[in-house]
Amino acid sequence: MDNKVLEIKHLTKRYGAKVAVDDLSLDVCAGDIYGFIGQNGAGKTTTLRALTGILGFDEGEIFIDGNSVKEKPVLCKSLTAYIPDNPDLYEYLTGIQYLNFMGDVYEVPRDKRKERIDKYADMFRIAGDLGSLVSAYSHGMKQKLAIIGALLHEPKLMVLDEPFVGLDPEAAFKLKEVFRRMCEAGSAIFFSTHVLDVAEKLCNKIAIIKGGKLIASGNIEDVRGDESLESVFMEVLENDAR
Amino acid sequence: MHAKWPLLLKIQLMGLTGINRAKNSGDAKEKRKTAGGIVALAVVGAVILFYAAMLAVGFCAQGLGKNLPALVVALASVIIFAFTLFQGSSILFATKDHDTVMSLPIPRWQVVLARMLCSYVVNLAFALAVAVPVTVVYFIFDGFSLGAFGTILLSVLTTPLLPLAVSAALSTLIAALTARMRFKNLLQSVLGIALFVGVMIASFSFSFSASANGEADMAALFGMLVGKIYPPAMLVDMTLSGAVWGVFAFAGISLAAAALFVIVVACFYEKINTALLSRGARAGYKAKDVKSSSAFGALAKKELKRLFSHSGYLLNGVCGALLLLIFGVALAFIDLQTVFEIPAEDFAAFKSILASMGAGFMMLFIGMSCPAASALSLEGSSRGLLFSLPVSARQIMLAKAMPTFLCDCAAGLVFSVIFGIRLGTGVFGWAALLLTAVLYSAFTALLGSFLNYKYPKYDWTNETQAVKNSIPMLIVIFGNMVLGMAVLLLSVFAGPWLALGVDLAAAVLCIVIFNYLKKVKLYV
Repeated sequence: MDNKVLEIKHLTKRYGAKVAVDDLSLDVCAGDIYGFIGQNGAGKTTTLRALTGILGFDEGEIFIDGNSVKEKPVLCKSLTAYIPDNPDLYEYLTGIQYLNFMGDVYEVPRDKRKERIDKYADMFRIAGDLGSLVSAYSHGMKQKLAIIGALLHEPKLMVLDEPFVGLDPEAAFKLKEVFRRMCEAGSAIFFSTHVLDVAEKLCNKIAIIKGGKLIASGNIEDVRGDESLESVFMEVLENDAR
Repeated sequence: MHAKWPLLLKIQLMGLTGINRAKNSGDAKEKRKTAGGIVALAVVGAVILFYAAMLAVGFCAQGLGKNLPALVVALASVIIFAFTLFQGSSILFATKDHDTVMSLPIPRWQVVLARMLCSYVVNLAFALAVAVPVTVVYFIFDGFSLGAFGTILLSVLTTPLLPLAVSAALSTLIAALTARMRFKNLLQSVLGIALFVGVMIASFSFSFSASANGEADMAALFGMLVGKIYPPAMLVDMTLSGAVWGVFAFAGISLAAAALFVIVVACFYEKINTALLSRGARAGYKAKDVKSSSAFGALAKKELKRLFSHSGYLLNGVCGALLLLIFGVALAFIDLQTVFEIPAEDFAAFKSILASMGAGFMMLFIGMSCPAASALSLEGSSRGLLFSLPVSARQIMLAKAMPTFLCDCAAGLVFSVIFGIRLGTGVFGWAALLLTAVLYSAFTALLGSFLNYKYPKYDWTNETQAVKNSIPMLIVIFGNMVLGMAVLLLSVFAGPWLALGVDLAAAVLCIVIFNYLKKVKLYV
């Protein structure tokens, strides 16, 4: 399909003898808000890091907007934004210095940069704190700053690892709004979460990973059927435990 | 697409100096700390300038003034190589900002280039601190000429490149070879130590062979540094003797080495990083008996484990103690009379002079490395966990001083015993040796811990920034170097009394710092 923003084909990543991600394939299309769920150590973060070009992988292929992550890493990264679960921002910079750095790296024109910083800083209520050092920020404020930095270049694909952890309810609500608006504009969101309620209410597609293997994926209605996502998830775990 | 390495370099340099933090912090204490750091840096710079100028004057007095530019290049290169030997891989790989940087659309070679240039800038500052006074002395003695100025400028600007490329290549090779192994940190440390010992033995053997040739001191130093240890510096000498192409060849070799390093590392950058950062959790753990210890014991054990957790930290932290140990063990086997080529009738007098220098020698090496000066900074962003524990700040700070004390004291005691027996030291000489091993080690450890409390650097992006490029480390190492050198030289006249006096002062300062630590409070 033409509107595939992310294509993961037979991704395999090993840490020594341990297979962290095992032959994983999935597609994320423009307009998708795709939730990626699994237990701790299931392989979620490894997958996210591989597709953002941070981590090399052993087998398979990953394409961002039709471009191979292996062959055109810089182009793929310019189309993507990644927010790790615990963003290690440069603590010796002020918020605005960090955003300007991100704007420079993604080559966002000054006028658009200013417009977007103003818009998102107001939205997430940290406009007044942008002159302070990042080291003075709370965890939630750092998360908000990382999100604003990631939104500056209007990425085609946004990859987030546990994006709602540390955000206050208002910021979480606004981030969901941003996700929806981005998807309406043709971007796609791929994020990992442990909060099944969020995944159920926000995502149109979902993937469940267990022990590095994809257990289920597709439209959320198809995956959960008549049950809640929580029941399906627990059922998957229990089946495997038996 | 524009070049991105200048952006990355700028961000890294902003983190290195601490000025941005002080400028944007509303905390007056933070600004005072930065100002204090700048003063400390200026003092260290002044000491380097003074030593370099004195060395240059000595050279000119012996009629070797025309060799000064080549000497600067060789001396700065050797020191840069020794100081960067362990930091190459920690600056390049597995840094704290790795995920952020690697997710950005910046080509790998530009990431490597920016990280290398950051190290280059720091080392260029050092090269300039050595070169400026020497050049001034050179022009005073030899007269100013534009050609010589251009030669010196070009050579100094390119001086850090070759030693940086070689040291970074060696540490990268070690990192790459061990990256996929289970005990990679231990292996990296062992290989790093082997490399360090090899380099030291090679330079000392050069030094001994230069002395054995019976050359004058300064000429021997020049012959050893430029002729044997760092021959590329000879190219600079050639230009000043008329062969203009020499300095261009030197600059070309330096630039080519650095460029080759960046290109090669960029090709393997992702693979090495992935291997270094990949830590699969091991399954199948079976619970054993749970061991318990006191809170202080647990903290001290944690610090020892932290020391062994990162090869760069370990190698920087124990290199002084390790050298002392090597010298001690070597002393047990070498024949001093043969090595120094002393006539039999003069050997007794030589031995007695050497015996008086033992404690000063030990101080010089004990002060060379101090993991306590960076142990608190290394807590980084997870320091809150430590500060929230139900233990006093003094216990935390003492635990942080413990690895320094244990390593230095153990090496010092071994050295003392061998040195005392081999040199036939008297009672007061023995007292000076043993007390120095214990008291000076305790003082260095407590001073490092105290200074790190005063000048913590939590916002590092790679451990080297905390371990090597920090104010506490600078003060401890250079302060001890000056004090150790002074005691070493003055002991020839004062005997063991000077060292005993310093030991007494160290004991008093230990008590002062110990009491001060009772009052400290650790806040995030």
